[in-house]
Amino acid sequence: MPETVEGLGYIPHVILGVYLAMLLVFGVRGYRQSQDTEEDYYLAGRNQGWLVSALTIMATFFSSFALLGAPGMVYRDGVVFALFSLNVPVAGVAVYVLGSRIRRIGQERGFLTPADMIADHYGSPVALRLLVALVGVLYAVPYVVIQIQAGGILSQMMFQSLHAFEVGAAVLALITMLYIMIGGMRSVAWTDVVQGLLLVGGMLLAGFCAVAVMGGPVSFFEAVAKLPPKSLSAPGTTGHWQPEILFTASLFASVGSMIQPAQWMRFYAARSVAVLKRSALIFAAVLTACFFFGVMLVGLGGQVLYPLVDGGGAYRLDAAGHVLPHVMVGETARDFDRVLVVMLQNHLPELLGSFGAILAALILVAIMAAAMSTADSNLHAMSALLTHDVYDQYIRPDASQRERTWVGRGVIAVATVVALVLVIVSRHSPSNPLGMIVILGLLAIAFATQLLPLTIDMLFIKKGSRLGAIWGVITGLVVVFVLSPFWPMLAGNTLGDVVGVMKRMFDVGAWGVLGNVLIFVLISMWTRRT
Amino acid sequence: MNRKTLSIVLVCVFLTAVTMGSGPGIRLINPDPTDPHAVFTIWGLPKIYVWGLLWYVVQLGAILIAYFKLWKDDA
Repeated sequence: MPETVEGLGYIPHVILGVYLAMLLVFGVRGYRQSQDTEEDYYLAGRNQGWLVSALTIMATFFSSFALLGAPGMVYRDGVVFALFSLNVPVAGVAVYVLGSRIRRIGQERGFLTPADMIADHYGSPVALRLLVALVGVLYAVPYVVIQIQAGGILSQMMFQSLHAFEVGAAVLALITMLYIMIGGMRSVAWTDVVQGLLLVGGMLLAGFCAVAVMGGPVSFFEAVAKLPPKSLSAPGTTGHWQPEILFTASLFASVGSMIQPAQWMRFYAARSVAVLKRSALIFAAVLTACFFFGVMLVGLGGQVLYPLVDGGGAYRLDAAGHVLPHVMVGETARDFDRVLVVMLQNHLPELLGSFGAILAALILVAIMAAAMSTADSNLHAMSALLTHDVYDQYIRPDASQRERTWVGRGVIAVATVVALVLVIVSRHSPSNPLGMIVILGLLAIAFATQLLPLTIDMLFIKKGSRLGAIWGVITGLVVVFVLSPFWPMLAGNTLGDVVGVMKRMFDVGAWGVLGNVLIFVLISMWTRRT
Repeated sequence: MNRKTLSIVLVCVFLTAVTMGSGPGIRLINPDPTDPHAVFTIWGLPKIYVWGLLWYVVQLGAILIAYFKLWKDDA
């Protein structure tokens, strides 16, 4: 474990305790206002106003990816990854352009999940419904895992005891599970309001602190200008962020994140189109600024304070040739994500005394909030997919509304425990297949992006066929899986250098969409003719 | 300018901003890290960072115009 200064005293414990207690209060309040129906449990009665909608959409979009992953990636690869912030306005536009149409159709037809709309449009009550549910699960599981992992990382760095990682991951998972189970969408949305405000504040505050610890903006950028050339240019330190990869990742990550089931259900839950219109503007303007002027500066400051190169300009590498962070930040290639917490612990209390400790504690709680707000939305959406799209349709179609909501709660409990076990087992595996937050996050988004072609067709073009949609999604999922880090674990290096070459050209999700669209169009044309 | 023309213009501007800001457009200003004479900063800030900010402003401008002129409250 890296050495960090325990300069924060008990302040983080107190602030964290107050925050967690508040979440449980929201859970209970949501339960008191709820009715025992699926529509209420999953969509809060389709009556969310603009503030709740804007903040729950933001909080679901921003996760530990934003507060730990993004600064970690800038710390590793340099300023090039700051350009990834430009995916946020694209996502903002998608909130209005896609969200308003999804909401209108969803309200008219009483849809609850994405699969309801897609299965209805293409007339595929079994195959497409199950496929869409599968895509949702493939997105939600890694995303929940990432958030729980972030809770573990945070706890390990804050408390530094022997099992701090496991305890932190478990506390985050169990409290999140508890308030979703109690209050459903209403609790999730209300807690997202608090968490959304915390994470917007935390992101900006983190950037401000990074600049402050280096003596203000002038000295900050003077120091940044002296970073190694690779840190100030594309494709970055590791050579990963070629402009084409950055472009396809930005484009598909933004839209893919907006059509994943949890966001789709937030569109259904919005009270009006005006709500989504205003949410889209807030999203695009505020969140991009949080990235550019907030967390991205943390990564750059990290490169100055904890250099990746030694006095001779050589990078520290592990046995496999991966670039390593500074020893004060971590010892393995997956430890770049720690840079924000290390900076907060080591510099803020030193600089600002107890006020610095309070600021640092607030940012740490914001990281926790970012992780929990995404985990809760995804667990809640996954519960809807498995209960409404599988249990209600094929196992117990005659189940009462009460039974359905209780089955949904059971799904949340099981999914939380499975995700927690995955995180802990992976942590103790020598290869740690979960790796860095950004890499796993982009893979989850790549799976969700496979709903994009049929969503565009369903909302705008309306020329696709049922078989085209089914085989398009299957092709996209297969392509993403073959290009994922999980394929070599199962099949070894069976595809030789082809996979490597493809991954160096475009983002994995883009390749999936390419295959998906090709098959979707060809089969749709063929089936329409015959 | 009528709504249709404005929509087309804004879509073109927005897509250009995405392509230039976080896409192949980066190559226009990207300094070569192996070139000892390469200039990495402009006005004291990393060139790539300034480039990103510029296209963020363009994206936001297009969204603001769409918000006030095109997007409806009851679509």
